Amino acid sequence: MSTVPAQPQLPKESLARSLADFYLTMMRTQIQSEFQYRAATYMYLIGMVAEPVIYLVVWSTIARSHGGQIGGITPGGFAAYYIVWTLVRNMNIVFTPYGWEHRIREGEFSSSLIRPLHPVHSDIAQFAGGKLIWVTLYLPIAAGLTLIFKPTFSVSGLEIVVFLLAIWGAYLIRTMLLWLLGMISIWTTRASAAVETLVLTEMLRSGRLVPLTMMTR
Amino acid sequence: MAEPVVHVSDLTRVFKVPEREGGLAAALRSVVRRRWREVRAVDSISFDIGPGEVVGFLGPNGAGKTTSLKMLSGLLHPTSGEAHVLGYVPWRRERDYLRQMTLVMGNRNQLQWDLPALDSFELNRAIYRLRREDFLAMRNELIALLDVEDLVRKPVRNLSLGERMKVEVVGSLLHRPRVLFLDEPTIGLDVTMQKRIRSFVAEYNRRHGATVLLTSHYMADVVALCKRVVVIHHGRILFDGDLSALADRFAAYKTIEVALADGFVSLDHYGEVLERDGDRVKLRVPKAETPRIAARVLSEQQVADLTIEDPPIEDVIELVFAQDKPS
Repeated sequence: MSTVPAQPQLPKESLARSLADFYLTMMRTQIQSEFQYRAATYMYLIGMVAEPVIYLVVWSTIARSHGGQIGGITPGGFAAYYIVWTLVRNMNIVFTPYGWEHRIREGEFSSSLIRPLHPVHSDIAQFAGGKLIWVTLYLPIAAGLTLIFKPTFSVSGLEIVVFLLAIWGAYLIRTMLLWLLGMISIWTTRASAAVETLVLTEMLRSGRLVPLTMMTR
Repeated sequence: MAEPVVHVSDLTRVFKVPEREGGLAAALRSVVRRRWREVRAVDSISFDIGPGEVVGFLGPNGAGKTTSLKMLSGLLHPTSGEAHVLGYVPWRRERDYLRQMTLVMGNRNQLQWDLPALDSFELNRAIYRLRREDFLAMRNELIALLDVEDLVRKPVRNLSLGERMKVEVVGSLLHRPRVLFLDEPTIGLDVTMQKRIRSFVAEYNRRHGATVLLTSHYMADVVALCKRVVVIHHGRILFDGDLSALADRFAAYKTIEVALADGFVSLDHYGEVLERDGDRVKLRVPKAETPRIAARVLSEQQVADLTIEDPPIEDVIELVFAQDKPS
């Protein structure tokens, strides 16, 4: 009589440690994938920088024409704002509902669902791995922008630490938000319509076109 | 009998799908009033699969095979009915269950596209929480079995379909699953590659005692691997039993191939002549009459050779489906 073969053994380490192992492995894998397309990654980054540079030039010009500042922000202040904003923007790029539509239409999500790990972990870890590359590549670009636009920073060490924690927190929050929107694709084939509304709201309200401090006035 | 590994009882899945006529007017009407139709993709199916069994799950496109496999692997909730695999209810998707099964779908890529498969295997090690020594032993065993030492070092995007399928299979089995759901694993592959995958599945089953439920449109897969088949059509099971019994039950005829020693003799009066190639004649005769007709041919003709065969399994399956055509 046949018998059921033994269940594969679990490692002795805790679930949390296994999860950390997964995150590190996935991030490493993603970094390797990004290395496959070095030129594409850099061009993508340059494209991303073009947008805030345009805002920066426009606002700096307006500030100069208004006697050196507008809304209390000097050209150096605008430069600091948009150089940091670009980093924040990069950190908030996550798996979108467009990707959700694709993965569901093509049946790619099935392979994630049959694994003994919630697929959200894969998306978080994968994009986090990508960010390590993007941020590293952005640093020389930021240095170049600093030389050209001469930003005026006045931040304490503690603020930098809080900022670094906050942008990773923001990354997680935006991942969850777009995951929720993306999951609409399971019921309807055009969930990206919902994200279009979100993108428009973000464009107007997130300090992208107009610095946040000026919006409150 | 041993406790079944897969137990399915009255499993049903109904999909609600929108439908409309073609054309602009119908499109406009559907904006205001959408029409829905219920499709019973799987309709009260029941079967058990014992430990180590390799079962062929056969049916034409749209018969309900993939829907059944998706329910058994936890991807879909049923509308009604129950199923247990290894004692787990699949759609509860318990981590312990997912660690012990795999679903391999032909033409679907689960590996990292831009990287060598070795990197995806490493990722699977972390996902399935495999002990490194177990992982390495299994990985090396599977690589050797499928002879893919060179392939696992190339980026997946540079592999041909057949090569990709082989490394895909390796990736799906690294956690040594006890239950394999294989959905068209050889689709689109050339004959040599099909044979390779087939012999691999047989060997994996032999070595690890895994239970396998296999769907395939290639009867060669089924004949090579499955002693038992479950035939499904329009969501209902038409046959569940030994492959050999399928022909007995559904094929009303057999073929007699005769090699004549004395050349061109007409054999029309023994049965329907299916083909004639020189002195070789293939006859189709009623199953019940086969022994009597064979004896007559042997006694009345100069026969060099005579073989009696069941019709090809493809023809039998076609007969099964034909008998279930909705009126």
